[in-house]
Amino acid sequence: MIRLRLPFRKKEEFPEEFLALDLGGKLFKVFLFKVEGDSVRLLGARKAPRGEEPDESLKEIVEDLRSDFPDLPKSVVVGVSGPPTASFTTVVRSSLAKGEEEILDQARKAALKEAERELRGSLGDPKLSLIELEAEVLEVKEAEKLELYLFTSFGEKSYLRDLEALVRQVKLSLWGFSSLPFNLVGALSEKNELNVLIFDIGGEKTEISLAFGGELMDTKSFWWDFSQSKANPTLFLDLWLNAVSDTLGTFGEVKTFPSQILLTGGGASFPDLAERARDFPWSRDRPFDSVPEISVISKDKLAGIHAEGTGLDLPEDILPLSLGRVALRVKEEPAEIVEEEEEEKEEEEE
Amino acid sequence: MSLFELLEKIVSADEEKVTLKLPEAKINLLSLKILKREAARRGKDLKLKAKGPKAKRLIAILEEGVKPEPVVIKGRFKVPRIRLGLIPTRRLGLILLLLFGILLLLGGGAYWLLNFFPRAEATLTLKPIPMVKEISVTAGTEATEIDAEESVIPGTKTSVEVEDQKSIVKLLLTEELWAL
Repeated sequence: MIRLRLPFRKKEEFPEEFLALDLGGKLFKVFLFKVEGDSVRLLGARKAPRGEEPDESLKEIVEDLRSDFPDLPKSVVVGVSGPPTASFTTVVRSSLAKGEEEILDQARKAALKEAERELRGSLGDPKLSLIELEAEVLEVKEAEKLELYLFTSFGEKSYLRDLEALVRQVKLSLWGFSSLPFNLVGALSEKNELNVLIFDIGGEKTEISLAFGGELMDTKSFWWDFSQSKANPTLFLDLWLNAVSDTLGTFGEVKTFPSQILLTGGGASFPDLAERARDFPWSRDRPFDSVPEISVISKDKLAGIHAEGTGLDLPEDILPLSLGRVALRVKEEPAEIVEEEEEEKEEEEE
Repeated sequence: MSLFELLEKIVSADEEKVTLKLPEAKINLLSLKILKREAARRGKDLKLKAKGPKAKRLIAILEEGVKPEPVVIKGRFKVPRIRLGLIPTRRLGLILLLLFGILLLLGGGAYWLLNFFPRAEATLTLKPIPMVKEISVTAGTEATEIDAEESVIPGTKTSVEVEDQKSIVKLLLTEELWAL
């Protein structure tokens, strides 16, 4: 049984056309999507450097996109990731005596506490406050005990406030925030349940996502400016690879890491990065059963998202493209209803 | 200074001991762990110093496993001084009113202190005190019964010879005497 909850806990109807924003530290991306049944189609996109005046940069690319699409929708989904965020799945095992709603409620509270503890420690701010962005039940298994997989994402308040201010300045309407790595894992796991490590190499931060069984388990990130590579590219990559390996060491309770590593983000196209990553002795310090296969994610791997003919095929386009999945998640029918309908059909057949 | 620049300093350091000053922006606990690991990899003894409170807390968390606690800010705030711009007569009245208020408060406080605050439980036990009453009576050899009015009781004269030739009159007190 799979039950899905609406992200952002909003009740209003999700629009047929919407904008997805990926407001990176170096590059701003605006993608226009249209929902087409069980999939979404990319209609257009614009990108621009963040620059000294971020609001002006955003305004410029939104207006540019509007010149092609005069009826540009106002609803915006903003992707979030990196050090001021926490995205993870909580597995709850409980006796069947307790109701699902009660368990879910407790699990969400526990997840918020854990996210607070983690981010306060990670950012060294004891007063830091978080906002729950998404809470989605991924799976419920009923055996002797009830097993519930709950995904939650959180964002630090001031980080979210800055993003919201940017959206308002360009006179767009914020529909909600959504975890970029969660949407990417979902888009990659539509056909087969992936066990994978994803390295999102952004302009100013690197984020490692760990997915098992097609579900995002946890993310870890650190600030790393890829524009500083000019001085000594070899040393730059050496130190970055060591930093990534050290980051893997901070994932708790992982017996063996997945033997597949996927690269994405603008930094994935950095010269020699993929080759150097393939040559890196990952199993020297971390538990890998075999030498991991390393590849760069291409847009055709994203299930349910069509971007043919748009000319977008760079690693930096993958994460904002995956935001198209938000529409599919929101529109997905709860499995409880599906089950009831199936039961009714069976009864009719009998 | 970015994480890469900090790592570069570790790499390029000639001496075994390396001291790094951590910035306040774009740094998290994971960055510190990365710096420590890289220093250990290169056999360097790394000392981290903070430029600000955030980095200071991160160093404490890294080295001592201290959980972040709410910060107490000392000496930054003062009790505001209130100035009353009133004319003298009004000020006098206000002073009297304040004095009356203070007296009322003190009186109330004292009443409360005396009546409610010093509470203690005392256990009282009764101890009987014997009462003795002295009455002058005369023992009469001729009296046959007690005469309460004349304070005479029946007595017997007994003569005993002693060496110092003193006589002792022994009074035989009867039960009736106590009834007096």
